[in-house]
Amino acid sequence: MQIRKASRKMTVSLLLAALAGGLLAGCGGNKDNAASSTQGASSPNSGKQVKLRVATSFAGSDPWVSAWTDAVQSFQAANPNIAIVDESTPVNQEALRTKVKADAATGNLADVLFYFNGSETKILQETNEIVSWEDELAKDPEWASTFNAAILDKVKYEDKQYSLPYIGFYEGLFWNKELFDKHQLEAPTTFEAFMKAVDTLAANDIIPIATSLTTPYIQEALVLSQVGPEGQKLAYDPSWAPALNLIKELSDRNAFPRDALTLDDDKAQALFSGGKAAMMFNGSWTAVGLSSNPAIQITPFPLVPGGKGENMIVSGFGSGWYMKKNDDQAQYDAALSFVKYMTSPDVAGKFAAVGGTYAVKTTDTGTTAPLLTAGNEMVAQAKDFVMPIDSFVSRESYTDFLKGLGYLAYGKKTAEEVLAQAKKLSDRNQG
Amino acid sequence: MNFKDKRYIVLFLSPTVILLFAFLLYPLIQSVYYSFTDWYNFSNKKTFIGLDNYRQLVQDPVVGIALRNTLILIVGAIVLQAGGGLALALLTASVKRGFKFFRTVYFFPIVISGTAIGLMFSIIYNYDYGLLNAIMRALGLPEQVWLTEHSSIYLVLIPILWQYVGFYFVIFLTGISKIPEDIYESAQLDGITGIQKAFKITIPLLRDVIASCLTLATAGALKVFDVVYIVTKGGPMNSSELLSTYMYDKAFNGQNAGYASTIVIAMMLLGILITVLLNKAVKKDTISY
Amino acid sequence: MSTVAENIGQRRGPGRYAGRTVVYAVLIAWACTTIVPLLWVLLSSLKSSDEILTNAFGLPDTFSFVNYVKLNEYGNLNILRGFANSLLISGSVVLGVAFFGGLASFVLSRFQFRGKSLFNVLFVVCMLLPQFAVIIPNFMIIKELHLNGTYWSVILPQIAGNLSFAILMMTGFMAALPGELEEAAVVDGASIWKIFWRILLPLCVPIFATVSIMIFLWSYNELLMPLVYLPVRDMQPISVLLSLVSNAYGTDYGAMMAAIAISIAPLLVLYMISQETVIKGLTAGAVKG
Repeated sequence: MQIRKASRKMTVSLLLAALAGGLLAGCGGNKDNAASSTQGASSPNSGKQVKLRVATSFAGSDPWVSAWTDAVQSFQAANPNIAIVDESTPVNQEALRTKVKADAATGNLADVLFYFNGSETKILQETNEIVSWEDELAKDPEWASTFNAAILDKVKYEDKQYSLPYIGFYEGLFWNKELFDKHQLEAPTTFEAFMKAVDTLAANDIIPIATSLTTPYIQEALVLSQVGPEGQKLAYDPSWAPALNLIKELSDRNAFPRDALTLDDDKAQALFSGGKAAMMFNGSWTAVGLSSNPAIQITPFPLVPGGKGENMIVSGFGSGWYMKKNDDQAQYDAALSFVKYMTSPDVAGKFAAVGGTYAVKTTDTGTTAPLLTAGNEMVAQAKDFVMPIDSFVSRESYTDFLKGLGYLAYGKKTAEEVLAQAKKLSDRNQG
Repeated sequence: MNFKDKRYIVLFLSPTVILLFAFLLYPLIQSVYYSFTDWYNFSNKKTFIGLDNYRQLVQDPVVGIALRNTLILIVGAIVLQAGGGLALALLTASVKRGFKFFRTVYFFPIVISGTAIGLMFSIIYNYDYGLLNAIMRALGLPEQVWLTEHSSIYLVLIPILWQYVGFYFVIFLTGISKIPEDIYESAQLDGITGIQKAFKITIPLLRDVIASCLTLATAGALKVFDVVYIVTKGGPMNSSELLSTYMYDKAFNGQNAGYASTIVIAMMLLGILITVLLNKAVKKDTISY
Repeated sequence: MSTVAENIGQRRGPGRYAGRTVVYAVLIAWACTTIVPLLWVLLSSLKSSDEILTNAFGLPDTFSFVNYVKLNEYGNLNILRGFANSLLISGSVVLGVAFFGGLASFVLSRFQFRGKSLFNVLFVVCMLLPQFAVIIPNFMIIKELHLNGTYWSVILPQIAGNLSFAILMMTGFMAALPGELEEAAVVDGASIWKIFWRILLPLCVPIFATVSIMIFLWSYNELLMPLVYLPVRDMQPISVLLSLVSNAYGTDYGAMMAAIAISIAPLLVLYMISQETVIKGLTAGAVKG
């Protein structure tokens, strides 16, 4: 009986603690909200304390986190009346997308967003809560002049500038010069040299191209090279078929890792950086890690026979700065000054030192690695550049298209079948 | 013992019913509606399209594969996970030395996140760096692509099934703890020992726990997700897709919430059907001591 | 603890010895499969990301704690604060589930009323529904209740999500308990509330302990919900650490292993405490005869 009494008392106290804990939880949350909305008297300008919610992808192991954290801190130091609430969320596991969509669906958007462009802009635009930047750019020509006008144009949605482009990426063919030299191979700048390298390397137990067939990169390269910028815009056009058939041919020639259908991109990259594979077509974000190896070179994907996309690259500004419409003028001004600060050449220069291409002028910090410089040169010399396919097609059709490539590589479906199915999903999504 | 006081029935059940309704049933009812619509990107625009999503579901070859794989997983979960957990619990309860040690270490896999388990197995199966191929090389055998169209679902089931054996182990161990000692004592006087004891006393007395575990195994199988996503991404060629991974794929990667809702409804119906059948099989009259 | 154990293996002769050996062989073999992954995680947390992929199962080149240091540099993240938040959130979830689930289970196992079987259907349906399927509808409800941005926004949906499991387990356990004590209490004129608190609950400590540790574990590992519902890093639980190690371009596997190693330690401690409670319940159960 003693035991039972003791445990009864314990249970009661546990349950009381539960209720108390719950109440505390509620109060704690409310207090956080209340505290920051109180008026501050000490601020120099408006005298009004402003809480600014910013949601970006600069979280966790994202390469730009330290540049971002420093920038936020220096902004805070310069503007003591503005309290930044950093709601940055990682993009993986679709966390950022889900967060922003949940916020959009409930009218709870952050004041400033650094978020995806293209089909995602639509979701934000439909809330009628985001600012179109034209007026602000017109009011401040000096600030507007720091943006590359052509890039501003590229990220417009229905002719409106909802998003200010910032960090951009490019995709290129990375190749390991040491392995090429060892097998007396020429640089893969022409398709003949590329195919010769594939065959020679495959025969010598080196993986020619480190890629996962669950990622889009090699497909993007082949399609652009085959059909050129105009053709690439015709999503899933039958003219893409020869490019897709090249994936099958490359697969048949053992150009890819043997388990390319289940490999993920991290492990594919490890094959390349570890010297087990000689080439990799991938994005500029991988260049940062690769730049420590001087043997790694970069070139645009070579022109395929009969192709229209010579010396053209897939590149883009996948994310941009968005700002919420705010009736409160102080709130609006604070958000605007925050975006202006982030896009200023000095701050952008610090982001640029980490990697990527920029839609705004950047102050060179002099610490950029040679491979990154080579990549930027490749972009500068390219005849044209296009946004990746997934920026303008529906996500469902694109996911299905990518999965279809696996079937194609293993001869289970023809290129025409894969394209037709994706086209069907894409047409349905438009309606 | 049976009570009948209606006030207490209402008072004690209402918090649960309110919570379940607000956060599960109401969204589920909404999902039923969504399953009849064309709805993308969680946008404001939904178009009613009648049974189109269901028609697509029936014709979708991937759903066929996912359904087959989900059924394999449910059978595996019941036989190997719940069964394995029961066997380990009986064995562990029968030993004196190391009882606490086994009880603790069997719980490890549940604590480690599915992400890490998935990563470990994806490296084991990897062609170039993988453990299995390293063993093959050491034995002088040719290297293999392990995750193929035919093998992938079984290879991906190994970590899934293995990880949650410990869960059923803990539940059965708790169930065993409830069996009063004097039952064993009197049985011992009758000369019942060892394995006989397990089959004649413990397992019959655990029947209600076993019945619960069958439901849990079914529900668990419908939620498996992270390990598959990391080891195979449902591939190669959708061969290791489960209903849950396909639903996630459609909802989050495909942003087709209408069709994803249709898959959810199909999963729920499947789950209810199996649970009802299982409960019929294990007649659910409870035993008290 | 040894009450069960002592009863087995009292057979005389050589057969007993051989049987024992087999039992231990099986138990130890399984223990190996559960310990190795944990060791792998700990060992890998000392390696670089590349080394984890290329030299997955060897010893690290150099033992370095750089991955642990890195976790501290993930922007606006305070690990201690994360643990405190986890304790607050998951603790509240566990206590909420135990309280409401306990009441509901009491009614379901001890009361007779019409429509009782409907409740069983309700719980099965709710248990089958994957939580990631309702993440956006739930958020809309949270917003309606003006709870967004508070800890409640993650606590309430998680209580709802785990109630069915708890009720399924607890109802089974309670139903199998003998009713004599309660009958005696009724004769003495005790109220229903008293019977629940003073008689039934103490006997149910083992199942409460086991159900609680499982729910704590699931709540503790819940990732997407806090990321989406709790926007401010200061309020997020430690599980978000695991999501921070990946970014759009890949995963820092070394940091991931360190994050897992850090976050599982409290779980193991809690598990051991909870299982000691189960054993205490066992002794208490033995008293009742």
